[in-house]
Amino acid sequence: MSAALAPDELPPASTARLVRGAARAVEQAVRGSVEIDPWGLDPQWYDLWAGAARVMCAIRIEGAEHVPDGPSLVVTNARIGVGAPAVVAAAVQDITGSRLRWAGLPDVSLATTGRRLGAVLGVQSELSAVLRSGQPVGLMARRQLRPIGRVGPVDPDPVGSAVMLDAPVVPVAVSARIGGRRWSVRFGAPLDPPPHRNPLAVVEHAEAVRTAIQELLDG
Amino acid sequence: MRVLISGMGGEHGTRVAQMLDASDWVDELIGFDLDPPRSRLRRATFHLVDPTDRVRTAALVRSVDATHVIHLGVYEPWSRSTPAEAEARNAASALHVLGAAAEGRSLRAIVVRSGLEVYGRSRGTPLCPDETVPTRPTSSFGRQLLAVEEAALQAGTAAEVPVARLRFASVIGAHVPNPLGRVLRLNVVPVSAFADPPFTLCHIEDASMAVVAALRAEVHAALNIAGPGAVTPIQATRMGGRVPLPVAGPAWVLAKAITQLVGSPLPGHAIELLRRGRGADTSLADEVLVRPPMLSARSVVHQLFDWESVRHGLARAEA
Repeated sequence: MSAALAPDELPPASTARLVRGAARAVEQAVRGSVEIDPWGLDPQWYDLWAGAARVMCAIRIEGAEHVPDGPSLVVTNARIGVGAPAVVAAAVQDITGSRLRWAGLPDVSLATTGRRLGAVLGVQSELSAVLRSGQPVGLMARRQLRPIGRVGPVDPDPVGSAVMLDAPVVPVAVSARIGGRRWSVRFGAPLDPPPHRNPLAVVEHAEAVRTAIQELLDG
Repeated sequence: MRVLISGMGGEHGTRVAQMLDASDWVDELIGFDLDPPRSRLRRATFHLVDPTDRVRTAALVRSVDATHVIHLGVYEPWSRSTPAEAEARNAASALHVLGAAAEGRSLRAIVVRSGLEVYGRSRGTPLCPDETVPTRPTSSFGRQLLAVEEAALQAGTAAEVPVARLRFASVIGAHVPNPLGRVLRLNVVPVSAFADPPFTLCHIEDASMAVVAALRAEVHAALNIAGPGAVTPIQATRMGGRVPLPVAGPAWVLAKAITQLVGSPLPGHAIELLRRGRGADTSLADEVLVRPPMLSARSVVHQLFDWESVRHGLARAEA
């Protein structure tokens, strides 16, 4: 299993370190000497991907105190573009030292790259296993085109996995200007767990997470 | 404790028999198989019986009246048997051994060898299932393993004894006739052209210790048994200094034919592993068994390519 890094062990975000890291990653890939975890995460490629986000973006983090160590479900709003997952991954790694596992990987042959960067399937059994192993999981709300600026629905299956395992569910609002490099990542307080553990309670909890993210975006 | 081991002649059965042979809590140790054990055993009694021979197998099992039955007479296609032989032997062995064992008055527990192949690797299934994930095998060997588990459960229900179903990752060791191990040792190894999925492994020592631990625990459960960590086909190939050959779609048929020609035939469940990966959540087994598997997948692969330094029963070393 890929070990979480202490905050003082995180690689500094600089282009030179990224290039050296990439060269090292390629060399180790050729030799087959990298330790991957059971779900396929390659720590070197993951750190390069998060490091690239740190170099290319100015990330402002708010509410870092709300992100727990250990297993948690971090739910964000969806954004157009591919930068948001890397930005949030870098933010979580900066706060906790842990590598975030994004849920929602499609189960197709070419998805290996996604697994190298920590993505996992969005099925409950896979997410439960990841949470049980003590790792944080990231989930993006579904994209909603209209009305503009509204957070889309949150998939209740991953929320259900977190609820059943008593893992905190943390709402996150991610915002940036299109084409800009300034990103804002606002973590909200983890939601109180639902009083009941049944499918209806899980659906209502997912809706509560959606509302919490919207409030963070609007606030 | 009077222990009967079916499949004692295989590498796994031999190693389990050695461990039990050396223990002081086993009073009698009897085993049988269609081949004799690979090593000398001090106290164990071995019978050369083909498990497809219903009359002789059932008579032997009934005469032993074991308190504990370890059913390792599960034959992997292209390990020691052709696919057709393996299928026939697995069905017959489960019926004859477990059916006769259930009639025994002394029976207290059953341990049966199964595999992660029972979960299947269809689209949308988790890469690392735990034991609560439904079993939907997508390979012939997976279906055979599930049938063995069902036979064991029926026998356990009839005899009112616990049944431990040990779902092993691919069991590998330098001397284990595992078709995946043989293919990985080829100079050119077929791998998927579009994916490099992770898979987990279990070393023969860890697999044998898991059987012994499950025997002592007399647990009634399915348990995933696998070493920590994972490797991918390309990684494993490069660790051995071999050349990975990307294969796609219908070319796998050609890859199967060529590997068979060179003496390392590829069964369907091994192709499934190379194309889709296979892992396991082993938290339950780690909790239940006293000594969960220790050798990581990478260590197992290192040992696979390190012929000279691997011996039966030597202390293991993490890579």
